[in-house]
Amino acid sequence: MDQNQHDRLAQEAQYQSNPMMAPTILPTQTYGHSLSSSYPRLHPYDPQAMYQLRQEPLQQQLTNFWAKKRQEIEETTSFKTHSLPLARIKKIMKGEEGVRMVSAEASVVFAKACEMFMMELTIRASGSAEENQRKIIKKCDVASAISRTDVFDFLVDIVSGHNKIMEQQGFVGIPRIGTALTPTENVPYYQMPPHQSLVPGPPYGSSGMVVGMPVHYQNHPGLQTPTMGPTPNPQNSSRDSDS
Amino acid sequence: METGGFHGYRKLPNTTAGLKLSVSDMNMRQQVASSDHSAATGEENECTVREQDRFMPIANVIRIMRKILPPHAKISDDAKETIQECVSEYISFITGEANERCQREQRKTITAEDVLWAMSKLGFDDYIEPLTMYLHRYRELEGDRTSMRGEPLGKRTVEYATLGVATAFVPPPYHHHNGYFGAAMPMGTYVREAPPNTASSHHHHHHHHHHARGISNAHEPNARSI
Repeated sequence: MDQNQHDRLAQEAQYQSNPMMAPTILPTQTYGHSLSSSYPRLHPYDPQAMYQLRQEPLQQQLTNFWAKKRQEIEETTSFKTHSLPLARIKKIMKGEEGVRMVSAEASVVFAKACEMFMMELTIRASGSAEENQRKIIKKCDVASAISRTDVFDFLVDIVSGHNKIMEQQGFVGIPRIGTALTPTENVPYYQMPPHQSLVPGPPYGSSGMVVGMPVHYQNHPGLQTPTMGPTPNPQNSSRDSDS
Repeated sequence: METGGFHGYRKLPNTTAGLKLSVSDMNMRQQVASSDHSAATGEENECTVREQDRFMPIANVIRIMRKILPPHAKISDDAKETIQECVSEYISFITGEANERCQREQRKTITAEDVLWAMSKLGFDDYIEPLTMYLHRYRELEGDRTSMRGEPLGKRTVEYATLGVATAFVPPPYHHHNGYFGAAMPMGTYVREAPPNTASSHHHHHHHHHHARGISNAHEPNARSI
């Protein structure tokens, strides 16, 4: 813990002392943190009562979700209709290099698996929206859900473009929050309550999005290539204003 | 807002260039595939031509999302599209792992067991029990319908028993699953086990993923135009 604290303080100091160099330093810091984050990611789950309490509703939702799924499957009486088209699933599977033949059962299992996958991701994303006191689920909520769940690491590229935009917005709007949140994944959970009380409404929305962004970057330092320019930024800003 | 969205579209021509690269890559795939199966080549042609086939129908995605959300919940269009892209990536990710196993064992057909094995290996432990039940139930109901399916079912059973790895993997997920719900710190338990596998598989998958991303980006203009 002391070592981790030291690392975080060092990184934070580095950020503060060189604000102009932040973009350049970011990759290194992110990489360094991603190494150490594997440990803190595990550690908070044991002693952090606050985290446990905050996540309780989400955990309960997921527990109920899996229980409901088992019951639903037990009661399945027909396999004529699936929630997703089997032909499309098969086509996507065959799009993977080297795949030759796919059994019918594999497509059927995937149809149910994808349904559960989308539902789990949706539950987690709605949890993120609730944390930011929004009733509309946005792309950044999906990104946040992905960054917080190890098993979804393979999805970070899909939301990285959006994440890039969030980074830009975060630095411009609330540099202090950006600095504070980047060093460690634990910080977001401590920072959320005070900002929530201090900055209600749209500004808090921005804060929430910033929370999602740095955690995401910390996990995958390699993703630095800008996929889109500043144009989408105004779009997101306007959406925030509307919501 | 619309203006912003429209600007987003104008940016996408750059992505179109990426699409061309993807198409080129697909052509290379076709050349490789043609040496194996003309049928396979045909199907890949179809995949290349119809870009929308890369994703699940958005209507299905929305319906599934809404089933799990309260009635008053709202979902932004970009969130819907992101989930749509994520599910395709999920299929490719699991399929890639399942196919590796097939190739190691010199089999041509990806089976349901291969899919379940891949999910377990890639950390989707919660999915194994419900999907195993689903598969068994499918065989109960669908197997009876066709007498021909009876024999294949028997063969599959034998295959399943023969595959020691598959057998070995089924019990552990069950145990883990129970532990997940019963333990005082279920999330902690889950996380402790997930990182090593995820890290390993992610590193391997990154290569494929890079390619997939290009395709995903290319899809955006079509999705939005619809």
